Amino acid sequence: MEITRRDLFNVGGKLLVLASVGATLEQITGAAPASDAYKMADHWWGMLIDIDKCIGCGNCVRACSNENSVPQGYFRTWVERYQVEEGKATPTVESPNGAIDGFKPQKRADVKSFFVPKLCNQCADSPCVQVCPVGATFVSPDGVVLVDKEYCLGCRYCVQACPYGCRYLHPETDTVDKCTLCYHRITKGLTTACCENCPTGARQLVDFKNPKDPVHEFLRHNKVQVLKPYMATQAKVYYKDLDGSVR
Amino acid sequence: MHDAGRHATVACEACHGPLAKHADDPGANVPKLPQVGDLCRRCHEKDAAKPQGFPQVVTAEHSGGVPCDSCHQPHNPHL
Repeated sequence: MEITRRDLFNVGGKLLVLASVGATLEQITGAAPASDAYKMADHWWGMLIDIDKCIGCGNCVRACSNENSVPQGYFRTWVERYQVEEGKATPTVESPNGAIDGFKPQKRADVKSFFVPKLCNQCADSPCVQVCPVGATFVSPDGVVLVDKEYCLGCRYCVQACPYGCRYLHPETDTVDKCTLCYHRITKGLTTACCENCPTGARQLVDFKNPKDPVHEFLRHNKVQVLKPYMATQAKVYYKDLDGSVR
Repeated sequence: MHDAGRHATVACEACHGPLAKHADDPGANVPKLPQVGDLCRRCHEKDAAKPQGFPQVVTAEHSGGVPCDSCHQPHNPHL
């Protein structure tokens, strides 16, 4: 086949256009990007929790415990059952063993009751980060609050400072441990273990920087709230249908 | 495994536990069958705190001790 000057001009022109827009090989070939293509600056992680979908099965707690080898008796996530009785100043809150085995049935129909899953709220303006004397606790560029175990002294300042009670001192390492939003999974394109195992979809991992994430549509059409908004922590765990009695 | 029925959106691991090894080599690592009695009850035992629209029963009255999977197909439990 004879290659004409016109053919060369066409091919060269296309290559020039691709190079000028900075297209990668994956974009050009349409191949899936490698896992090391994860760019922290492209993400801003959080979670959406739909209270009206939570059935208190404890799947999230068991999954988290298995995935992250959480020591027995400690929890990175847990589920609380609230019973709000008319005329009572404070609700009754229970979470037997973090709800890792679910709950015994609550049969009282004369009280308002519901389940509330809890976890680190991945605050953008986090008190735990502010009080850490050695900078071991930090917010990653993609919005996850993490602990560097090499730096952590185990002083527990952050455990006291967290308004949500989401941290504990690991009994074996004597360093602070907490929910990492399954950072080892989400940076590989997976969801968190708790979201993966939630049978009703009550928990959804969300990426606020991804314009295609359904969270944007959800936030436009639903009323949501964060826990303890008066703490001004810029929490990124949003609750749909959160009752005012929840602490 | 299940693409229809009320469990269509429930992930495998939600009932069968961690399955990464099974996904890597399905033949060599077969997931354990869960205890249906405990498993089904955990989600479907009647509790006033559960959402009203969620299917739930008092299992002792509903089945009288008969295992759930005697009547319901767990992968496709049309109710």
